[in-house]
Amino acid sequence: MDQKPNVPIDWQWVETGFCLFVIFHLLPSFIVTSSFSSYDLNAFTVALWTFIALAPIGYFIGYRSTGVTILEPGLASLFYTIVLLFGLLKLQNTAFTFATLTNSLIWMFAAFLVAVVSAWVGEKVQARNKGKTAG
Amino acid sequence: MNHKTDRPEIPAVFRPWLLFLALATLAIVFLTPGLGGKERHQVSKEFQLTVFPWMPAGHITISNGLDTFSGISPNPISEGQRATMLIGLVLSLVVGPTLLLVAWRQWKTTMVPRRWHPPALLLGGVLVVSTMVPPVILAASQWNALESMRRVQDLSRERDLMIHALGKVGRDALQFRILPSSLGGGDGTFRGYRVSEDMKQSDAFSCELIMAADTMITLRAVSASGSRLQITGNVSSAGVMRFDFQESEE
Repeated sequence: MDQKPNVPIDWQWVETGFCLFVIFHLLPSFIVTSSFSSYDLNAFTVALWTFIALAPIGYFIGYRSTGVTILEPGLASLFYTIVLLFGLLKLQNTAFTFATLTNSLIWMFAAFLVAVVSAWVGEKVQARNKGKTAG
Repeated sequence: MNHKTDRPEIPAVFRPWLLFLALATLAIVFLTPGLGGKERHQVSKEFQLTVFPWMPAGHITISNGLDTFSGISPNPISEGQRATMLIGLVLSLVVGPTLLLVAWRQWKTTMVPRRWHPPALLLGGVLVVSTMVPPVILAASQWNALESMRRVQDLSRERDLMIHALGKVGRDALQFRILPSSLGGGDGTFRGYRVSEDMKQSDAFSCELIMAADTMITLRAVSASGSRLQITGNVSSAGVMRFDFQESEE
């Protein structure tokens, strides 16, 4: 029976992914919120873009990396959502309750899923492009 | 050998900038006051640093329109407000796209990343993402807002119709109460009152009698549409009507 080689996690991509999430998700969210907060909108929730910004970053990592890099954006997004959880609690001055914890866990899982799926799509596109070039 | 790191997929010159910007962002987000504060990023009373200059512009236009409507002469636009809009426009529509496109184009042409490429690409990218993506999402969410507004208007119209119908039945019941029994009335009481068939049912709702006592009658109108709106009306012998609104369980 064939056994798949045990590919270690590329922590450089985890770090890069985390930085990309912070720069292209958290920073724009912050800028957007700063602009909208004076209009009494719950803009930070809007500004998080419900994972829309997570997908292109996951895709970018999957597409840009040479090997199969699906787990790395997932891990990066997981670390990012942990940071985001504490950031949100701090920024919105919300108490840490069971409900917030449950919501946050659902969020983390969804973020992980979005990043992994988009990275998988990125890998597929990369493989197809390589196939075209080779052909 | 790790096949993933055979060649650098992101040029090494980007790494310190990525780390620096990420740490700077975390520091800004975690070390500044909560996001709810209105005074944040309001550099002065008039000037506000924003990448959405059309927001303050819209605010000023609406505010001036309301002032004119109320007979107050609108305030002229101040220098601070002009600066808000000019700097916002320059940042969002000129500086961001220029940094991004020029750096990206030159990098692609020369194939060698220069020292200024990473900050230009990252800052330009952040400005472009911040400016372009939220309006698209907000525009998409407007459909939901519009639909919700329509629903509220429909519900309000339906509620008005039901209140009108209950009022009509209430007035009919009051007439019944003051009439003597020889003329088919209640002779000083609501007891024996029946809602007539033509007032009982309409296309939009049904009306029924819940309770008829000496000095009080209780009526209920239930919506026939999907809104499940239910209004209970109490009519006293003095002619005072009180309405209670709720959504039915079914």
